[in-house]
Amino acid sequence: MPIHVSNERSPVVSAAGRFDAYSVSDISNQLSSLLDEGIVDIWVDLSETDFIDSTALADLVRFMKRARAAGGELTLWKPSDAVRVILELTSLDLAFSISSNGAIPGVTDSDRRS
Amino acid sequence: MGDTDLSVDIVSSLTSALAESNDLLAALYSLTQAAPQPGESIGAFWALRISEIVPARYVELSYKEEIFSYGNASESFLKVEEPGDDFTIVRSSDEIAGGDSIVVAMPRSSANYLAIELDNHCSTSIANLVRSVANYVDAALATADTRELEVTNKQLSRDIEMAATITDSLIPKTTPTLPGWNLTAKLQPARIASGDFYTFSVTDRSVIAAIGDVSGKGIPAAVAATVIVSTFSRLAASSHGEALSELTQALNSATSKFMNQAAVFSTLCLIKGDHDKIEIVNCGHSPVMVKTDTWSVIDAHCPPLGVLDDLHPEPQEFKYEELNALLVASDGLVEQTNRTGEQLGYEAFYDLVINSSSGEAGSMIDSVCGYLQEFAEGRPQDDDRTLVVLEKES
Repeated sequence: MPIHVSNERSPVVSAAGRFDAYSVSDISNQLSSLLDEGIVDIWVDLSETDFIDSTALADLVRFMKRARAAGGELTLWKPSDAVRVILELTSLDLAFSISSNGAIPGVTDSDRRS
Repeated sequence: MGDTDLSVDIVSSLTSALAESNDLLAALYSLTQAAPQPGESIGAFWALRISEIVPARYVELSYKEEIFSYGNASESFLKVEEPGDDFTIVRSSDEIAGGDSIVVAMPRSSANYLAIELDNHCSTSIANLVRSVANYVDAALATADTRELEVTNKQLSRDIEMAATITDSLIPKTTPTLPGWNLTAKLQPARIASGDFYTFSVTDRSVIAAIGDVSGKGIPAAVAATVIVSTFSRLAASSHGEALSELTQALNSATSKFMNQAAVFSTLCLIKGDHDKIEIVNCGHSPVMVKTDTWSVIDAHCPPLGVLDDLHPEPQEFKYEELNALLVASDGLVEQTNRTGEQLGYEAFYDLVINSSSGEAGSMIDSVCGYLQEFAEGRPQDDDRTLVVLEKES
């Protein structure tokens, strides 16, 4: 299930399991709240995402545009193989900022909770 | 109509109660009004008017006194007795007006009551009358509510069907004739309307095909598909002499504002055939496959429409003599699941295409769709499916 790790410098929204039309509203609400609060640099942890559909991708595109319009960035963090294949097939990997290595600035492993 | 029908029991109970209260004329009139037909709320109105029963409401509980209000708004009624489980005797707070009344809760709502003034004391027949009218009015209003809901649902269904008809009308029913080639296309929506689309723009110089898949499903995706198809048709009509990348960029520019507002994007595969070659631009669409000597996959050249402001894809070209077949499908075919929830997957789909391409030209779509039906093992279609196949005639 989606989790949200509070971190003032780099908030992380995690989408574990299936990220599709049925679960997208949970993630959207979290991303929307962060952007409404003026937090524009956001990380979406896709490392434990088993499946992603076009509705979820469209939502990520929407929030990527909102973050960029506000001078920030929405970064996809460590997309799982299932997500990476879809990003490559659709060439959306050319549109998103994607980080496949390293730690998120200001976030330690103990910050990430499930 | 189900549970909310005005049942024979309710109508006859109301009629008997009115008759017992010595108002035979009212009983007869009530019977004529109570027949289940459009206008139940009118029947309820007349039942109340004839019986002189009025709607009442519970106001508050004050100093252990329950207060009701009805009739003259300035007058309130205090609970004085509760002789039955479902009715209460109340007395006017206006000592001059005096008078007791009986108050009965409506069956469906604890907030709504009916009340009638008692001439002397509570008689069984008056209590039965109020209880019976409460049942009748409640059922009549429930029936009216259900009818209203049914009407709303029918209107909604009609609107959805109309939207589906409009979007469907933009999908061509025939494919252009290309000498020496067999062009076939099929679109199967998962719901009543589809976010998948294909269309063709034909001039005497060239044919441009557009095949795409709007993110999401149902009416919102279908409306977006309609916008893209109509915009493509307008732009393509004047761009046959231009490069395919320019048409792609023009289509992206013209539709991205709408897609941004609708929070969707659309994959798109544009194929342009002129006198000596075929060009392909793939904006995030998959799978797209071509057969020269062997089958190969055409990777996306750029992200889907509606994602970036600028798209400058480099088209991939094939001479007619080197091309044997071309296939564009939507991901609804690849992501179809079987009874155990397992997806067909890309590798299995590629194998399916290769194995299906050995038959006669024009038979590939039926072959692929037939296998997919077997694979699904009776599971419903998960997503819209589109398949466009161009095969060289032998």
